[in-house]
Amino acid sequence: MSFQFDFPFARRAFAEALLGIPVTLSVVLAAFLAGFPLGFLIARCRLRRTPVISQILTVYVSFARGTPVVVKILLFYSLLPPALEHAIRVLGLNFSIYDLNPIVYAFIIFGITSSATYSEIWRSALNGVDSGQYEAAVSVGLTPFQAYLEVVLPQALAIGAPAFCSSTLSMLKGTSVVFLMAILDITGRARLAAAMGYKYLEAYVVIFLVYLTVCGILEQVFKLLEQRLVRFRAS
Amino acid sequence: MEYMLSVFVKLLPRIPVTLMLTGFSFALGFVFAAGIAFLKLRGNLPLRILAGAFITIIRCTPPVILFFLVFFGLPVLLSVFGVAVKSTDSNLSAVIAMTLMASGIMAEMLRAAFLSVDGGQYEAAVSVGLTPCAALLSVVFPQAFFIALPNLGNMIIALLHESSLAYLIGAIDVVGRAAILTSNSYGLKAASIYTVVTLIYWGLTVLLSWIVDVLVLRTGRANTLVTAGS
Repeated sequence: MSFQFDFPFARRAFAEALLGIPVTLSVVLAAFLAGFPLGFLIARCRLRRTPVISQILTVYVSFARGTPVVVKILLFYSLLPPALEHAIRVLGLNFSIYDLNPIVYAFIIFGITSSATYSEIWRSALNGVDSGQYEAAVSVGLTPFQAYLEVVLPQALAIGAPAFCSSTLSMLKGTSVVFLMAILDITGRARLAAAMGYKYLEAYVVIFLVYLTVCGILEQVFKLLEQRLVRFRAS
Repeated sequence: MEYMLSVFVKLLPRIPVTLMLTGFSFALGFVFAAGIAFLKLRGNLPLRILAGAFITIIRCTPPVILFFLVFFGLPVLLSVFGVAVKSTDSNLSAVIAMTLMASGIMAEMLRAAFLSVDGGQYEAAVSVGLTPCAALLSVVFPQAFFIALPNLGNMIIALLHESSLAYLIGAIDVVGRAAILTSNSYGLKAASIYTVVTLIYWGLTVLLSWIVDVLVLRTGRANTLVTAGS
């Protein structure tokens, strides 16, 4: 068997895959924007042991962290469209579910996943801030809200920063399965280009290189971010 | 509900496949990870760089892509060495891909654990007459292992989850069988079938993390005894 790596095709696929970067990043960004504050709220409720809500959230986090992303995609992609269609019919809206960009499902699925992952990080980070910090801040005259916002949160962020960064990076990698929902992210675009000439190996090498680059750049950005946050860390 | 039960019965025989993919890649990954961690700690400069590059590359590659790269790339790689294979076995490709991933990630865990064992432990062991090799094997490694245990537990759960990607290269694990069942029902039963799949993975994860927690608690106690006694 002689295999020739098709370089001209690889170049075309590379250009194609680059166009998918904004899509991949938008899924990551949406999941971050939804999951970061949600994760904080979940962590707060669970730490305060708010009755009922805290138990429900424990089950939610266990579910979101206990199932693989692919399985969640398969589940929600078969469950959500009929449910939404039903809701639209009930509400009498003039909107077809088939006009909905499947990226919305990706936002929902990764939002769920990231909120659970971030909540665990928030939980240990908030736990890591000595409770004396809050008490001291209140005793010198800050309102409880101020004390939380200006004393506890920055320190918690500093503690959680490495974990937040690494879980966001692994989420970036995790989004490469959204091509299953016909979303044209990095993987989706390159796969589409490959399908025409059955040049899958070239396509995957290209995707691999694109991810390596994006991930590498993001890792450096996160490193800078971490260094900025670390100054809040109580020594 | 009855239908979901019948789906569960059909998927049940596929759980061992999922667990085997997970278990094999974890065991193999652990061995390779130990080697890579050793190279990064004690190797000469080129080897250290090589080990570091491997870890970085693996950490930056999405699992799906690793699966496909191994699946499509392995025959090509083998043909370069003069071994002709017609096609790649799905399960084998999946285990190789997951082993690569596990070894890259676990190498960092093991390295960190090794470094966190107090250097005095090794020196004390050598000073009471143990050979350097024996000191590492019977004093440093056990402690490092206990330190790494919670992370290794997370790793095996992560591998369980990644193994669900194996169906994309044709493995017939739980998800693979579910996908076949779904297409047999022309997609009509997709929601119930994948609900069952979700419950299976959720159950397996809860079970595994419970086992890990028990292990960590037990060995954690042993570990504190070791530390307190030393």
